[in-house]
Amino acid sequence: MRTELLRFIARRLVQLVIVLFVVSIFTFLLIRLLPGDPVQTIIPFAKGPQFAKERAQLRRDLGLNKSLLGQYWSYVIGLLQGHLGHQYSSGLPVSTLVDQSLPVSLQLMIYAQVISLVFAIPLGILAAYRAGTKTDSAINTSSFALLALPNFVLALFLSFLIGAKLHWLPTAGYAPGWLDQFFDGSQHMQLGQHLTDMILPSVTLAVGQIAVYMRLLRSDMIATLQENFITLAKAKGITNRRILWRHALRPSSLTMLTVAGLNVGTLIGGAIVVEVIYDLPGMGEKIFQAVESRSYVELQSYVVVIAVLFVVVNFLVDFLYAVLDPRIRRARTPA
Amino acid sequence: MAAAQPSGPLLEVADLSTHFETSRGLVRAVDGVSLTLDRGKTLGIVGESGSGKTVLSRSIMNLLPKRGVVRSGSVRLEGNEILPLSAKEMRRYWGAQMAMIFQDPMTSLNPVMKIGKQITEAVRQHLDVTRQYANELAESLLASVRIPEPHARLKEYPHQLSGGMRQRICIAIALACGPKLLFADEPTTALDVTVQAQVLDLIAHQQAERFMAMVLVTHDLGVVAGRADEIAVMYAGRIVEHAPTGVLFANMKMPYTEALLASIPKLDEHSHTRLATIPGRPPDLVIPPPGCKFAPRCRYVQERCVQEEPPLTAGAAPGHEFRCWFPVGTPEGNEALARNEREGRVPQAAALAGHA
Ligand SMILES: Nc1ncnc2c1ncn2[C@@H]1O[C@H](COP(=O)(O)OP(=O)(O)O)[C@@H](O)[C@H]1O
Ligand SMILES: [Mg+2]
Repeated sequence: MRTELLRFIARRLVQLVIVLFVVSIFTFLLIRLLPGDPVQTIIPFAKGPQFAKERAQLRRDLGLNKSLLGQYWSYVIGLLQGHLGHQYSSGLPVSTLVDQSLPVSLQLMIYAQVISLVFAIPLGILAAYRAGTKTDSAINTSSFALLALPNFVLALFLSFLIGAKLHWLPTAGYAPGWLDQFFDGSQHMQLGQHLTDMILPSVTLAVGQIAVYMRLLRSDMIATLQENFITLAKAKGITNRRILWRHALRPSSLTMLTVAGLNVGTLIGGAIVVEVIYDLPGMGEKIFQAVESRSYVELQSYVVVIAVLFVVVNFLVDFLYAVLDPRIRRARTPA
Repeated sequence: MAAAQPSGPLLEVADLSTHFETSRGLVRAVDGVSLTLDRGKTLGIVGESGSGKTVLSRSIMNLLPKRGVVRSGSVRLEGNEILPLSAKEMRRYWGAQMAMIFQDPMTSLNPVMKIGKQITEAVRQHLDVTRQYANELAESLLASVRIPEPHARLKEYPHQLSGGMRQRICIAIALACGPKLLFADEPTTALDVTVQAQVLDLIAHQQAERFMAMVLVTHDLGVVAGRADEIAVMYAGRIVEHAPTGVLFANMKMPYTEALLASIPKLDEHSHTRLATIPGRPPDLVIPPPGCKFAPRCRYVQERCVQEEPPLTAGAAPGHEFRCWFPVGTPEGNEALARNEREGRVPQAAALAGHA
């Protein structure tokens, strides 16, 4: 069993490397395909010595004096060493900015995923168990209403009601959590404040996902509940609760988990809005600022980071598959 | 009738009907079935595919969904009426008093749960035992259904075992809490021919050892021939003939039973090949024909059969009942058959099948 799992992971790791290679080519071309002289395009109009310095830095970052292949080579080598170029307005290395902002966004997305799954799983199970009844349609209708609500509307509503009117929770600001210190050693964890700060942003981001996960789990669960092994479990005299949670949930959760992995893309999009509204110093806010100031190099690096994040998360989902469903690992060879 | 009297029959089913609400109308899958079963005895239920055997056994077990199903009649286990009980109330009976072995062992076990767990969870649900005791019990159950290396199997998943082994696991699960009544719904139909007899013998051996009553469901009269004390033949949701096994084989009265017997697969064939020897198909269960349900396919069919449904009437031997106006081997029956031959009358379905 162990070796099967290891072999499974090894196979997936090879795929991971291939995907990352494709991602690197894509992001590399992103900048090179800008019209005219990329340096002029990226830092246009401005004159003066300080801009000359930035342009020189940018030219070095991009390695424009080399051939395209040579540029790609030094780009990849740079990436592998963690060089992500510089933010030309401040001259700071982008890697420093990523270290500061990535953990903020990661925690936000983790909380959002956890919150949405914590609601979606019991609701999905209940809707499947009571499929076709009033309970089912009530769950469907209300979760779809929440899905239809745009993030920014919900964010504004929540920060107005819970924050400004009721003063229950902060609507802006950020204290470092459990993840920040691993990226940036100077951050000290203030877990209580961190969690309080993160409640409204996480809930805002989570709400729309609940309907998505709930629906997927519900339909897979309805199919699972028709299976013979569920009838057999019932014929053993097992309680309904146990049949639903121990027998039916695991085989019904694979589609939902796949989508939860793919959903990281949607969440990053949502995180940009949420971070800007709640003033969180995360990647979303950095991306927003980079777009606003047309900082292409910075943006390119964020794209790389997000792509890697996306690929790694989906790798983890695949791994989770193999843990949840023993049939996905290869059948045992006779000892 | 005295309730909960240990001397009475274990199972009494009276006028049980199960109808499904579908878009086409009510499907009369089981229609007015009555039967009784004593402790330790075996009742064989035989009929073609679609005759309602599975629905009948699940109705008796009270395992059918509540929605879209209309049931009436009475099912008593040791004198206690169980038909109106809710799923929650039935949990005391399921597994503990009555258990079931399903037709397809490939889909009856949870693919993502270890075999040991699938046995012990039933044990721990019904018996107040420690985890360790439950594990030991599971291991000895696996040994008693003759699974090699039972200890190692506890930690394995179903997909690591063959169909025959999986059916043994299902048997072990059914036996786990010592039920008084075991339903075996075509327990070997999905299995390889080479292991069918082994598995049937295993079930029979365990049944005798534990003094369980058993309802053995099959489409193959050959399977129940040496194994059942009594046989009920089902057609279109009804019992059309019911007799002690010896009486049935020596003196069957129902033309359908005769046709079933003629269609017992030969030794060199797979026993789950379709019963093609009875021409035609079972009737529509939404709008059944008014007379005898078998009339369109019967060699003995007369005018009366199409118009009037024969009631279940007692035969000469005790415990023998059948539904037929022109029973096999009686003067009326012989005359009917002779008349049909003289007039060149073939059953409607056979005529259709001949042209097809
Ligand atoms: N859930 C259901 N809804 C509607 N019809 C059903 C349902 N289950 C079984 N039936 C019908 O009941 C009849 C008897 O089925 P079944 O008991 O499975 O037959 P058997 O086990 O003898 O092959 C069949 O005609 C089948 O189509
Ligand atoms: Mg069946």
